[in-house]
Amino acid sequence: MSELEAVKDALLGFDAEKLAKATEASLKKNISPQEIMNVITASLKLIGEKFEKGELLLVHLVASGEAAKRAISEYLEPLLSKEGTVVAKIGTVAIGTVAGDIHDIGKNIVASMFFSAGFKVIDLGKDVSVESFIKAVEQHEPDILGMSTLLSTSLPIQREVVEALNNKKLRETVKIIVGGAPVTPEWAEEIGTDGYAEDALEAVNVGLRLLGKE
Amino acid sequence: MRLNILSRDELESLHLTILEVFEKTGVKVHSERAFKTLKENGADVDEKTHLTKIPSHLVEEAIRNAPSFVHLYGRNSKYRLKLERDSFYTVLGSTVTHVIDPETFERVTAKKTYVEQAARVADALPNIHVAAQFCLAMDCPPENQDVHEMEAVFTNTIKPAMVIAYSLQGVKKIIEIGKIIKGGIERLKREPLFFVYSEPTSPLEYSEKAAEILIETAKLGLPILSAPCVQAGATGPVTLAGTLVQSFVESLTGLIIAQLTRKGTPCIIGEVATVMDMKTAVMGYGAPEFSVINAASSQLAHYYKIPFFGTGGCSDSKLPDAQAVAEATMSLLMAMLTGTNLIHDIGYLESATTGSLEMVIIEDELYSMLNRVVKGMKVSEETLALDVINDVGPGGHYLSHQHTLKLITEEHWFPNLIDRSRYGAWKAKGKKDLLTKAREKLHNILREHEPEPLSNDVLKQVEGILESPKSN
Ligand code: B12
Repeated sequence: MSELEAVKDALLGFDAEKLAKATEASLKKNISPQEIMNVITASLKLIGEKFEKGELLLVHLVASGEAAKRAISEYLEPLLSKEGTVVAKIGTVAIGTVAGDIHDIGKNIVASMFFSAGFKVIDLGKDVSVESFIKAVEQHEPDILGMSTLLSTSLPIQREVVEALNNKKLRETVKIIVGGAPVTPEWAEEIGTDGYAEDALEAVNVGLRLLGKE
Repeated sequence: MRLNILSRDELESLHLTILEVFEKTGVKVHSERAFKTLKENGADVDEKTHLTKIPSHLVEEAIRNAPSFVHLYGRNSKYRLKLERDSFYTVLGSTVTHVIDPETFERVTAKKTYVEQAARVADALPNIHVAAQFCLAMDCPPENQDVHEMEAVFTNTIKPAMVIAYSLQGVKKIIEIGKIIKGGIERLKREPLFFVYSEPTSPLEYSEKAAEILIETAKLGLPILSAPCVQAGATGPVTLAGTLVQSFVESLTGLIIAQLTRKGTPCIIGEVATVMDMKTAVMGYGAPEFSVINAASSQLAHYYKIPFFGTGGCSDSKLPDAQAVAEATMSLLMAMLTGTNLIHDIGYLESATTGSLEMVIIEDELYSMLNRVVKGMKVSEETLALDVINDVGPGGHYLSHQHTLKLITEEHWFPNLIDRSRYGAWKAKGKKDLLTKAREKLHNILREHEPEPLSNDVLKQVEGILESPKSN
């Protein structure tokens, strides 16, 4: 098996340890970081497709995403940034669960799927205040801001964030998507966001569509 | 009839692992008050992260200090539920965002009227023992929503209720309502009209709000329930045993805080522990694994001699359809067979996001039917019927025998909604299926059932609590 095949094999085996080793071995053989990146991205895409077809499970998706994240941040990104190349990303997503709400597993899954689809993901955590959302937009300039809430009582926070972004003249700089059990497409529209998704898979599709990268 | 799915040895293994998780991994307790209490009582704490490792002697002492029974009362002392040993009672579902409207059968946004309707339905049905919010009063002011919901419950049923509050402020007001209805804190303590639900966050955290609600209730000596929602494979280990272990660590953390706050506080432990469906990322409320974890947990709680709150009668179906009834029947039966003292979330559909009163009606019937299963077979000289068989002999019949007449209603179960009529009779009555009949019964109750009203004076005082300012 070639080094690059080993990378793909490790990822399709959802094995972070093996992937790290295969990445290291590839680099030793002078394979360029960008080339390794491409293999990782293609493998993640394949895993995503298999999930969509019902051949793989959520755990495989998350595990491969996290394995890839480790290999990229530990081995590839440092080299690429030394070369002055930025890792090619589809876009940046900042995502958090809104203030008053500590349900976070859904948000974590959405974050993980965005990562696997090739986005840079900034996880703002749970119980995130309006101010923190605004700060994140100012600081990271994400292409997409995602807000999750599972509590009807925390829904108004989503509206407040949109309004605060409007007031700060930042609204046009970012696409906003919302989700979580009590969120509906009607609500998403009413408060002036750009998109809603019922699950993580759809969330990524909406994200891609909003960035014109479908 | 009683089902035990674990051996004594397996129970010991679970218990020892639970103790080890407490000592080795610990729980993050985000409330200052709770954290301080645990620290003062010998827990090994990290001031920065609030990680609290609890030594086994503290855990075991708290389990010993918690009473082995909790009794709940309705408005009057006659309605009493004894949560102890193998007793089992049903609890209405609680806080869904959507309901199936009883008139249109459309899935609609929850509002206070539905909370009131559900309480009346629970009041009317003999096999729904504990009331609850059922759904959210989403048309009420958010800062007072929980108080509105519980007011709607307490004014529409004489039965005891489960309380879910969204803030410390909310729980205080709801306790005030309880005091008014029961006539003071002493009577409320002696005859608790409710228990308060506090939810740890899986994995292994206790949020400030949940802990504060727990402490507030425990301080007054009112019954408290501590129960997490764990999803095996996502917020808990993929294995059922591992998820049970983690869930008990979380639930017992609440019990420990309650016992340290006030020794002897009536505590109920429990959980909503099932799998995350790894194809849809949905928490499986109709999953068979749910029933297995519940069965084992109930057994472990019995081993601890602490009342157990488990789950049953729920579904992932979007409608009150065949899937819903199949899933509800499975989990109800398992919960009843394992002596789950409180079986909650009757009427939940769509993974705990939609409530159906038709399902509540159907489950009232299911409970009655399954209760016959749980009653099992009585074996005695009389039931063995040696003399009766001899009496009737070959070729005779038993229809008119005194033995039959005497024992028929004790030995046989009679359906109410479930249909056993012959085709012609069924056709003549309009070819109704179970759901149609359930809806008719629901409409009857909503039209005709008037719960015993509270006195005007009490109502006025309760009204006052609703209208009292936020900073109460
Ligand atoms: C697990 C759970 C908990 C756990 C959460 C632990 C954790 N680590 O996350 C705990 C026990 C802490 C908890 C607490 C409470 N809970 Co809760 N909880 C649930 C439950 C059962 C499952 C949620 C879940 O994890 N689902 C699985 C995940 C993967 O799905 P998901 O979150 O929906 O995410 C998917 C999509 O929605 C979407 N998505 C999610 N976020 C985003 C964001 C974007 C941008 C996009 C595009 C898409 C998207 O993609 C995700 C993946 O496919 C739900 C019921 C339900 N079925 O939703 C109730 C539920 C949300 N909880 C509820 C309640 C009432 C509470 C409590 C108030 C109860 C109490 N007694 O205190 C507290 C509140 C705590 C707080 N302040 O937040 C109610 C909400 C009612 C309401 N007001 O709206 C629900 C509906 C259950 C019920 N009927 O009672 N809960």
